[in-house]
Amino acid sequence: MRFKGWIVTTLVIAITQALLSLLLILQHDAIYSELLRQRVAVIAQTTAETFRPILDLGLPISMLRDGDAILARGIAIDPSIVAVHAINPTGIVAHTTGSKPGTIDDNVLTAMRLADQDVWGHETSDLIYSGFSIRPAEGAPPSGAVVVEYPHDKLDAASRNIARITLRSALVILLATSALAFVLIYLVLDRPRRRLADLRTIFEATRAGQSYDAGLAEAKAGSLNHELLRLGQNLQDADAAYRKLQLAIAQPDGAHLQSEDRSSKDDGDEGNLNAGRLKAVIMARLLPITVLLLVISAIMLGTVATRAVTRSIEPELAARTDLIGNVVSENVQRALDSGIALNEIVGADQFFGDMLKRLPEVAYIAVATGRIVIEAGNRIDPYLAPPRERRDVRSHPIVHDGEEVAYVVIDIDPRLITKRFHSVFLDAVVILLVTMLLASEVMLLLSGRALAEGLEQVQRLSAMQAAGNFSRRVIAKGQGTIGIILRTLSERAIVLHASFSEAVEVAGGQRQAALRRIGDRFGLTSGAPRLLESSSFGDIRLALVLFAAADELPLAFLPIYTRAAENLWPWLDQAVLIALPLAGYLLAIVMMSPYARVLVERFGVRRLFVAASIPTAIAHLGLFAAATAQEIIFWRTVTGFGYAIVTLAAQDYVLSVASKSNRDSLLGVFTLVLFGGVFTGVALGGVLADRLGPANVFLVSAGLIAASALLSTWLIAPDVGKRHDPHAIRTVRTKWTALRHPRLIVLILGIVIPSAVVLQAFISYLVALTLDAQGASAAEIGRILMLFFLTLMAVGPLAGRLSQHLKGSHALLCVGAAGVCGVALLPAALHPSQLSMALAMVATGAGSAMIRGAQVSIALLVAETDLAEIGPTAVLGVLRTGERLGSIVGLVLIAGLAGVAGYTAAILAVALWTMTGGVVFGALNFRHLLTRR
Amino acid sequence: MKLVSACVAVVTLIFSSTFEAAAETKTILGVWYEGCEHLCEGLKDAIAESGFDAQVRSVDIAQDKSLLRGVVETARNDHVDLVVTFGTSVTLGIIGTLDEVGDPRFLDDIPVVFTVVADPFGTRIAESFERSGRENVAGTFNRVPEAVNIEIIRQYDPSFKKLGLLYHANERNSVIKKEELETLLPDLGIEFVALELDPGNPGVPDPALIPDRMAEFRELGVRWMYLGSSSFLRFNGDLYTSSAVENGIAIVSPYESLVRENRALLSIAARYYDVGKLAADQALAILRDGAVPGDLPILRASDFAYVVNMDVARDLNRIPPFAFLQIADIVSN
Repeated sequence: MRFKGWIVTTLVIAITQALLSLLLILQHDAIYSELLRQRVAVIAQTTAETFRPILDLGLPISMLRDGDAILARGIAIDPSIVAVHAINPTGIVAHTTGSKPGTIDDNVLTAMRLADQDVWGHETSDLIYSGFSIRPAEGAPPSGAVVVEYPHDKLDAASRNIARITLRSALVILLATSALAFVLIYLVLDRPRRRLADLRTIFEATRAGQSYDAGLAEAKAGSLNHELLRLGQNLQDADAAYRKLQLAIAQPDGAHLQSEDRSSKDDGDEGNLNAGRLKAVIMARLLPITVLLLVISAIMLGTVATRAVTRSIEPELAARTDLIGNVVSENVQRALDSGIALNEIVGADQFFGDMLKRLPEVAYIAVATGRIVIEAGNRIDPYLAPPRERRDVRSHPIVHDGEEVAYVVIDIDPRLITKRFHSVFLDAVVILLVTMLLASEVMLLLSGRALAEGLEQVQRLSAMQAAGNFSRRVIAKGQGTIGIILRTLSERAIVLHASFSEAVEVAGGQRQAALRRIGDRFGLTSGAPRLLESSSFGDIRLALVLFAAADELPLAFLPIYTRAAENLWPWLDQAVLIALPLAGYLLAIVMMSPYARVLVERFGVRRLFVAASIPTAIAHLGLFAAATAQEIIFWRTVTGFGYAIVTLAAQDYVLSVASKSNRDSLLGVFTLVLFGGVFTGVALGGVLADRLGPANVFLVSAGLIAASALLSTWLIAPDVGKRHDPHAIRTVRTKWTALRHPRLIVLILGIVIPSAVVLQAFISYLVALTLDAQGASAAEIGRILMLFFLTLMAVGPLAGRLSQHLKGSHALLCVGAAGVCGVALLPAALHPSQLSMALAMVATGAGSAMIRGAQVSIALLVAETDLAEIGPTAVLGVLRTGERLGSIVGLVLIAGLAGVAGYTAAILAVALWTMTGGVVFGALNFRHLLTRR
Repeated sequence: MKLVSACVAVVTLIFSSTFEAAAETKTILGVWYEGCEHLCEGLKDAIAESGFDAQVRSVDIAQDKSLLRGVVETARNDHVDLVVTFGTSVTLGIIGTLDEVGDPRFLDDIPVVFTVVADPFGTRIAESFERSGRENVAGTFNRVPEAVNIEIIRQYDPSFKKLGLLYHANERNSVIKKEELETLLPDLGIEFVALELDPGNPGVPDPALIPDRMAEFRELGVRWMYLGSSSFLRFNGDLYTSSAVENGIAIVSPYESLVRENRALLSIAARYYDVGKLAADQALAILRDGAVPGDLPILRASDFAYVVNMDVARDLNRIPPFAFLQIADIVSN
């Protein structure tokens, strides 16, 4: 047990370290690539600004004479640059420093067209492209652009360096924590080991016919002693039952069986009820060590890697500042070379002021000769300046006629630098959270299966045999105490079955009938005993997490991915078009949901899980290969069918394995696990899209779904969920009956649908598009989006308590939550930024969590009172159908509005919709209060 | 001066190559308003560089449009293979307008490539950029729209509100330009001041009047003037631009040479040498590749440049703004 415990812990830590290393390296590469692009963008921007006077005149960029020479200035400033191109809006290269290609690469052109910001980029395995678009007016299509090609080598080298540091650290941390785990586990599990050894002695003594006093009453219930003593007692009882049964088979007409011997049919539940306790006791000792070491090792690696990342990106940040200084110096020198004196220069303040608008980290640029001659921006308050010499950096001499005539002063805004490092830290925290979440799922699975499975089996089998049920056996492995006991218990069942079979064969008449009665009572048949099946929610958790994560990986970039694809329906507004994959997905869920349960009952959870995974994985491959928006819509719809089947099958699995007493709590855990998967997908999708490219993320999704399907095949018992007497399906008519209930209608229209619109139109659609328009990367979008799911998961359990605090006024909770959601959307609509979006995520996440529980409670209340005749299942079905249909209609409407009036107007509409729904719902629910007043 | 130039401007055929060219050698006749200059050089160089067996003969009308009828006859009699015309006046004299197609006074049987026509559509020389509208005519275009010139002045001098133009009635394109600016400038929020150089004189105006007109412009508060669409004024560019600077007036012109060689402040233009190369491209497409001239689009010049005369900028105390200095070709003269 101790060795297995150590192996499991080491394995979980190793998986965590590997996953964390991979994600941290990817994250570093994303940051470094972005910084590199931003640095190179300085060249693209300043070169493009040179062309601006020509383009502002409405002339094509190709009309500038000596354009090649202007581009060559960029290479003079940074000789690492491969080439600089000036392109017109159709991608034709008008000027270049390299050999003149006819047109720029299609992917680069697509990046330019899709960018709402002036600065944009693209990356291939060889080159990093940084582009800057010149627009005649804000929001107008580009009239031309400058693209700088930079070699990929520098990023590759930095990536290799980080990979080396991270992997080396991970290995050291793994070795250290594994050694520590070995010691701790040996110490902590020493007592259980000794107690199990005692148990073996007792068991063997019992087998030898010696009596044994368990002393169960003295031990504290639920303690290790208590559980082991109970097990000892059970083994003793099982031994006694075995002996009695042997005699009974030999003499079926005898009086060896007392009337108090219960039928084996009653014993299953008891066996199950106590089965997990010993496992829980052992796990309660082991899991804290595993979790502690897991957290420590992950934090250690996160810290080491984050420091390495910081060290890696610091020179890049400095290089960008240096480059800006060089550009300013070159520009001023060029003016001086045209024959004017420094004090004759006019318009430089405005020129550098315009430049500063696109260099957020630079607060102030000046040219000084001892006194300031040219300046733009605002000086950094010396009290705010960081201790390092970021302020008032005297750099880049301006040389004219061989003499230094001036120098450049650049003030870097320390807040933005700090923000950048905070961002690195936040990225690491997100990765840490996701890794821990996945690791904990792996840990629960491994420890449950590899470590505690034997304990659970021995407890169940001994309890069953003690109660006179010998119908089951197990395949016992190992030579340890548990293995020996299990083997003995199984052999007893096999022996009894064999004896019974033999006896029945030779017996005749009355004797055979007596034997049959014994067989019924003790679970004996003419064949061999059946294998003991054990199913628990733990078996499906990891598969569910992986499936949900795979499904949500594209959330951060799907609208943008659809926008980039070719559109075969040019007549359809683009904003609506890019909402269609989501609408198709939701429609598929609506259509599939009523049939999921029927299918589970017919085929069982396992077969359905695997069957749904196959088309879903194919759909993700289809999304990977999709070239048109229509293909994306089709394949995303297919994934909706898969998602509906898998999640509902998993829910049925939970209902199948849960006892009545723990069903509600298990359903709560099921929701948490599902959202854990969603959260993982959202958070990782952005990071992966940034590094692997959006299309390749679908391959990752397909891989995760395949892994999920394999896990379900291995871990889910074949017949779980199957029923041979499926309930009659509720007819559509019952739904109409439910829809005639005014309170339910008001709930659906006022609360449920607006809340669904917040999720589908705002979270799943508008956030990605709005943040993309703000220049956020896919990773940043993912990080902000996951705040919603994180809050949803965190606030969910609290919402129930709040409801109790409000004396069960679910309606009041709904109104309050709708208000919170609506108000939180206003700043995001009026001043969209990463901060306002993050706040909106947290508030809408909290609001949605409160609504989620409260709306079900209200519906159930209605189902138990006014609609008792159609029952809660039908009422909840109506609620869910209304929610999904409403979200589809809402999504399409909001997408249409976004196409006409822009994303911010669409967010405002969602806010107003939510608040109006809340007000209407509140007014109708609290009408009596208003009337009284 | 006028008399002298008229005397000198006998029809002189200046042969740049031997008369006894081989029978396959194609003959291109260049018809110039005032001597073989940059455009003519560009044409010759591009033809030579192409390796195509063709010779360029030049005829200089020395501003005397009356000689153009004789040039048409010469082209026909000598069986030249293609004619290249320079400027609006020469082009109109050689091929007439679209309404005059079929008139024997003009060439419609020999391919013609026109160049340096300020407004080929307003003057009805050509139909559109896509095609000239007549089978034997192809062309080039080397101007930016006038609105662009106005914007350039605005970029240079944000206080710019009034534009002056000196025109003369004996060049049709000069009058057309005045009418064009009269229509355009109010829409751009610019006051337009136009003065005729030699009112009442239908012939070649007297250049001696230029300083007087400049003084009038100064009195009217004009600080910026446009010089384009006038071969006469371009020919008298030195006097024109010097007088302007003396009166504190900056000249913006599509004629780059006026900035490089005279005292104009600013131009955004393609080099005439490059325009000559464009004309050669059209000629080669017709003679070598067998294209029908009327099927060829009007070739537009690229490679425009800001050129600023820094000495003039200093004299006028109008130093170019910093952004201009990053892109402009600075000259001193």
